[in-house]
Amino acid sequence: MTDLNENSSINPVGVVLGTQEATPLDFWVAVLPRQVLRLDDVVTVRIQRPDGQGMIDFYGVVDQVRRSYEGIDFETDSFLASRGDMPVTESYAAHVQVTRIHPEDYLPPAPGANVFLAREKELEIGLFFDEMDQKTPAGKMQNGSPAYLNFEFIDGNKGAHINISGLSGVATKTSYALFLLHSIFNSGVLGSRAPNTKALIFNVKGEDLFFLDKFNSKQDETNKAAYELLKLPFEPFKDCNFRASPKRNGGVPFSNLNQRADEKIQPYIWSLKEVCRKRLLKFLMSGNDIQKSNLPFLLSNIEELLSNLANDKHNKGNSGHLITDRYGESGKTKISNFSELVEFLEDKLLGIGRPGEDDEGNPDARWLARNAPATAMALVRRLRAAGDEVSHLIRGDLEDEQFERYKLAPLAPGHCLTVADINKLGSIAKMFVVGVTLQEIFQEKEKSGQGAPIFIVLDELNKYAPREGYSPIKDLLVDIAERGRSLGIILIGAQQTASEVERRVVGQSAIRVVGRLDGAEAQRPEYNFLTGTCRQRAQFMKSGTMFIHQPEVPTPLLINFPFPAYATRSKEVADDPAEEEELAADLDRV
Amino acid sequence: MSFWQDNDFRIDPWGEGYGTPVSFENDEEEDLDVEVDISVEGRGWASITPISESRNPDRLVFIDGRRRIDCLLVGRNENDVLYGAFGTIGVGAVEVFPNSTNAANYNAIEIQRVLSFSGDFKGEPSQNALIPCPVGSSSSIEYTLHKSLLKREADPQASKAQIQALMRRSETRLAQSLANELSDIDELIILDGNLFSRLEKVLGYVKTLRKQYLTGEKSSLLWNLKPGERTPIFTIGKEDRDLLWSWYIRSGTNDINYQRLGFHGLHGIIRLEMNVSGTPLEEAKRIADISTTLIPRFASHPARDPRAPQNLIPVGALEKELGRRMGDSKLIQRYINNFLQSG
Repeated sequence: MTDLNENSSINPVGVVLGTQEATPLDFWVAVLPRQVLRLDDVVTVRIQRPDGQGMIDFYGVVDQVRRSYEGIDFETDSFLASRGDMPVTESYAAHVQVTRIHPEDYLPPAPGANVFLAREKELEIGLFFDEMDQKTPAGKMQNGSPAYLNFEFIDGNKGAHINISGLSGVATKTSYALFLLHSIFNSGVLGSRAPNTKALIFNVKGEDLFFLDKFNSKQDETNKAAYELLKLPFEPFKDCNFRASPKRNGGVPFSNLNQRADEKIQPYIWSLKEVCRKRLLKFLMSGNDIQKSNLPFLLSNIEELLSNLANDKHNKGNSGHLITDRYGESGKTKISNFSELVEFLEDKLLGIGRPGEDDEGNPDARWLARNAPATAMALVRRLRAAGDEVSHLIRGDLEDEQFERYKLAPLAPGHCLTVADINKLGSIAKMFVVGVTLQEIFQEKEKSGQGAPIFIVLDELNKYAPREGYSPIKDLLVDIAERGRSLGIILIGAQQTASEVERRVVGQSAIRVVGRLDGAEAQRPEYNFLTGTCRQRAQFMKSGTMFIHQPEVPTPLLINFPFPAYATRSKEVADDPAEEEELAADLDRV
Repeated sequence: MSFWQDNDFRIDPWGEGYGTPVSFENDEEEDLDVEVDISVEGRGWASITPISESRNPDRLVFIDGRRRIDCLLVGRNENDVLYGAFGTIGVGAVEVFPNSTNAANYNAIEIQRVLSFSGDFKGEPSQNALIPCPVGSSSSIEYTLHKSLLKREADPQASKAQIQALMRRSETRLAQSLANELSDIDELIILDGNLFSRLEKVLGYVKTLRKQYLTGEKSSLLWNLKPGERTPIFTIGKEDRDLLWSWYIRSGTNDINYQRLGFHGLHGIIRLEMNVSGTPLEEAKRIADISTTLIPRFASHPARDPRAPQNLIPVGALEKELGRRMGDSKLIQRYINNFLQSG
């Protein structure tokens, strides 16, 4: 129990209003003259129990404030009052959402009781920060104090996952996700797990995230002060692993980036053999009609057969291609790229190149497995369409050690942050990269059990786990949302509209964050945690301002997070003095 | 129909609720043959429209009071009936700054709670009554006993009359103290109601025409007075300290007047008065001229106040504020009842 007596030297800001009902859950405060109460201010009230059995402290957050002339009957009396012809009294009142009662005696506070601004210790009690054993800074509150998230509700100990909603461009979802990662990596909450904790970010727009290891040039002292306040180091991300999709060329893969091309950037590719072995073809199938047809059945049969093929004795070699029996019109026996794989499947499913009776194709019954030719056609058509997008990602013309080097492996040692660029990929290829990567992480974590957590930052969740319709990743994401907690896979998901994302994915997130929302979206039930006026306010949020909601704190908190110390686009990259010197030295030699 | 037209009966918009307050000011009313001299201003008896608009005072102070009988008492001594009352009186002022947009504010609001008794009661009531308030508050309401509110003859009306008189005295005292504080800045004190004698430098604002000072022909001027006009100044009383300057104006505006509203021809007529001692005629003329525009400026609107336009806006607000500070009459009645039962 805190001793609020230190408050006795401080003036109260108001008293509990007597004209509106005060309840244990919310009450109104009449603000004293020359005092100020704003939205988001935290207040405290101490009352004596009417039966004399001790004192009770209430803590709460202001969620509405209003001023009005009282005692006037007509709206136009306001003119008289402002002209100075009519004396009026002004009422300034604030509505308080109670966050905590200590001890937990649910009495209403007494009308007329003094209300104080909560400071330092009381603030921490009021917002439950005092009970968080592991807390990580979430930003700065309106009153200038740091706000914290309980890490036990992020890392799976008590709950897991963070979900961020907000309009594109103004809600700064990705920036906040990055800030949270920076906070988690540097606040000390990871303890001994820190060296093995990983993060994977899918970069979905521009090449903005390929400069996280550089200082940001746009800095001023207030930013540094904000970092100091939050006790976070003012520095860029360390140990970054930047991976981009390859250029569409044969031979040695080069990363397809325009703004950065140093040795830190590596492309990622998959071997054809691996795709077949691990049954990854399904990640090339998406769309609402898939589940309504026989495609999934046919697809799983083919995946099974391809997997067997990839594992048979002819394919023991160290290269990405597959050795098969003769297929196609030219009678090839080697599948060394994606289009040849499609050709092979065409041969097996439609029998093209093996004329049967009546010039009809002569499909292989083992592959077609009693499916209608139309289903097979549909599958081939889809694979061909996918081939245009993934032929440079799935290759059979390299050796295993190259595939090993270009493997997108966010859990590999040596890096803590992996940025995977998918922004230059088509939608089928995006789905494939995200799906395959998530599945690999999932399988690996299932094997190794929960050690240090991995954080996966994925924007546009509504695309990967839509509420309506099917996507091969949806089941995976639901799985991660439901079981990831126990495996140490933490999803930091973001989307413009939570209402369009699969309910279980959003619902499993212990931490909910909201930036600026569209008015219609803000009214949806997915945002019911935005109490009081917060829904309205979500439509007016500035960049860098967020509402955060966590299980222990019964009210959303409005926070600002500081402008990043790391560059989030090429324009922001600060000159590195070490590099400058090196350049100068080179010039001297010349 | 002709009877109505012949007599020009019109509705009295003040209505029943505000029924012209019963006159308790016996000291004033006993003086039945006041002398009225309409020639003091030295011009003919015709309406005057002030030519130059004189500057408004920088500060106006409106003074008003309210009284409420919280509870009437009936007692018994042997076979004699005794009467008494618990009363609450509020007086206060509103400061207004007509030449600036400074906010109007309440000033010197004072609430008194008093006891009054009449009849052949036993002994002397000597104690104030402390009415305890119930659960949830440690406070109590104290009613004080004023010697002036004791009367030995049983009279059911006495308490009301005495409390009313006490209120008038409190208003006068407040006006007097504010008048004594008058600083250099140009200001005017307006007391809602008749002036008591000896109250100098204060403008009395009489909105209920209880006495007809002008008779016959002279009074026809009142029926035709327009907003912005006034009658010439006349004196009321005898050549001694009770002599008053007085004049009539019509309050309201050109849009809102008795003709548009269809009220009787004396609707909106107000009599103003000032003490002759302390105010030379020239000063009285100046104030009379100012009053023709100043009073209509603060006139209330019929939608807001049934007593429009006579009841002034600041005074209306002050009445409300006084009522608020007098407390809730039902609650107070209940407390008093508990107090009498338990006592």
